[in-house]
Amino acid sequence: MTPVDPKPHQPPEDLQVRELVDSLRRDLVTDESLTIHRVEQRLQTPSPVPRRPLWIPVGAATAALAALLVLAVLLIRPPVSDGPPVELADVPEAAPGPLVLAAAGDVVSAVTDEKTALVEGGAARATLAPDSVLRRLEDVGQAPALMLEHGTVTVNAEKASLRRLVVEADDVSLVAIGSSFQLERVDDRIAVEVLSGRVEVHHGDERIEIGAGERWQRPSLSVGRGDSKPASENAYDEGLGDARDGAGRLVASPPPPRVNVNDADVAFLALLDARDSGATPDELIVRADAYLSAHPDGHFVEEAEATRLEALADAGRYAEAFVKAGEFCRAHPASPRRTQILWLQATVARDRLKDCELALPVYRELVALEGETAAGAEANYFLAVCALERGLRTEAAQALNRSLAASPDGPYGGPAREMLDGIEDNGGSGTPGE
Amino acid sequence: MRQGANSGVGEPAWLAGLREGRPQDREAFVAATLPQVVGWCNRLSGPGVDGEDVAHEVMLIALDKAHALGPEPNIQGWLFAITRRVLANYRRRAWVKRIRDTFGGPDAFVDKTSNPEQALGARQRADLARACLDQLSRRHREVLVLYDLEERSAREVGELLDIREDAVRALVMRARRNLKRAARKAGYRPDGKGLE
Repeated sequence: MTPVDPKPHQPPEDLQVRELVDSLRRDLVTDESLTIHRVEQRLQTPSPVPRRPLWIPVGAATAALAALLVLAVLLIRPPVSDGPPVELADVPEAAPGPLVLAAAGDVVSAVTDEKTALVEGGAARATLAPDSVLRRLEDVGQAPALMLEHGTVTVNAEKASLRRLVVEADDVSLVAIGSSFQLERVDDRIAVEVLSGRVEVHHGDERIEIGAGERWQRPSLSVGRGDSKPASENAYDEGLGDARDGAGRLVASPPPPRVNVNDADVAFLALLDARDSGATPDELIVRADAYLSAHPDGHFVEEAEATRLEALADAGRYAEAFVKAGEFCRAHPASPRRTQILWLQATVARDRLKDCELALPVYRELVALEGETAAGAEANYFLAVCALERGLRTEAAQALNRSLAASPDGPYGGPAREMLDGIEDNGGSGTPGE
Repeated sequence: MRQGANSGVGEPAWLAGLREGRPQDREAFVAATLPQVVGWCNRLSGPGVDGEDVAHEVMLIALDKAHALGPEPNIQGWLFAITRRVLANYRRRAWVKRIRDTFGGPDAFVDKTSNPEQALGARQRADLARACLDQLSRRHREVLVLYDLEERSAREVGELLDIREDAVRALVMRARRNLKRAARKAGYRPDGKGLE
């Protein structure tokens, strides 16, 4: 029993202040139950971060003189994978102080929102996309070093005060020399695109330098780490044609999958059978996991992942479904299932997680993909709903106009008109029925 | 939480298990403390800061550091200290973002040209209220939220902020004095009525 406080709270005597305090109290008492629910879900969501050894020795025999020092220190640096594996739960270690990557072991992660971390007192900035983890490593000579554990980071190291910055991802090392670039690491795919300046890319015995507008992607791991060649050679060896894209940028095309097609097909058909015969979502998830772990290079990996995503949503694991859908779309940008997964992701965010902020960018992407079709009208309508919820009236009105232009007499025509009238009247929220 | 997880008056049943990392006690801890943390984050977050993100990070830190809690800990004070540190980080980043975005974006600043009388909606009222509190110094904002908005006693506030009761009262007086100016600056009016 808490003892009674002899001097309880005394309200303000000044009437104006009292009125202000009462008003603030009312305005700031929102329904927090949804936020509490979402935070609870986020706390229960397992980390998507893979556990991989961080130390990969780099052969530097053919490196240019300028890179010799960096590579030599890389070779003698002790392994950093002895420490605990990175989990999102590790993130708080970096949280109490300012968001900086100051010393080896510091970790910054972005879960749902973009985050920016400072390196060397702001001489370099690393902006993490959602679902990304970045760790500071031991310095390489005089150069600060970072490791992208997972996700996408945009690094700006243009300041003259920072002569070099090393950023690693698995067995790939980048040396930035007054440049900015974007590095992506999703599953085994590692790609870098230089935004300004020049970046040295070290991978195995390979060392190339790429400039602004150029892109480099690690050749597929199924080639084998030991026999890595320049990206263009791999592509030609596999008979896949030119290794430069239409813009003349260096691109390594992935080699064809090397799998036992029969086994994979049989396993995938079993998964489809389970789905069509009314297996529970949890059973489907188990089966999809089994397929994906047994046939990571199977022809039907995308299909199995998509089936698993739908099962996750059906099982009520919405936060996980949302995160995994994002990973799917980033990992398979050209997948024919991408649009369908985006719809799933948007619907989960808006309808299940009740989070328009999460849903908004997904609907924007869908609007661009669906164009002036009936599906486009639907995407525009829900984009408007979410934009309005976020207070973005102009964007909502534009989306509603697009929805009406694409399908004036469709199922969303009436609600769109009603909502548009609400916005134009500027008196109501614009939500139909209000 | 003010009953179940407060400052050392009887240890909550989940405390020992929380220190040892037992899953069911961690869940009980979250259930007991999260509503209060979300409330603080909601009231102290300020423009451009997502209270949900802050609350999530606070709980992650608390769960991570719980093993180091001493005997009869002041759980509320400990959580409030974590909350204010995390909030400070987020507010700093939000400020940098606002400057970088040159006042752009829907969350950057509350639209002071909007007319509150024309039903801005609860969300915008809340944003405006936060913008008003944002005009106060951190100390004044904290005492005002804890003392006046949450109606705690000076002793409770003192325990949370680790300061003496008379210091709390002095801070409350100054915060209240500054509140009118802050409201005027932020364009915040109580319930749409004029201040003057």
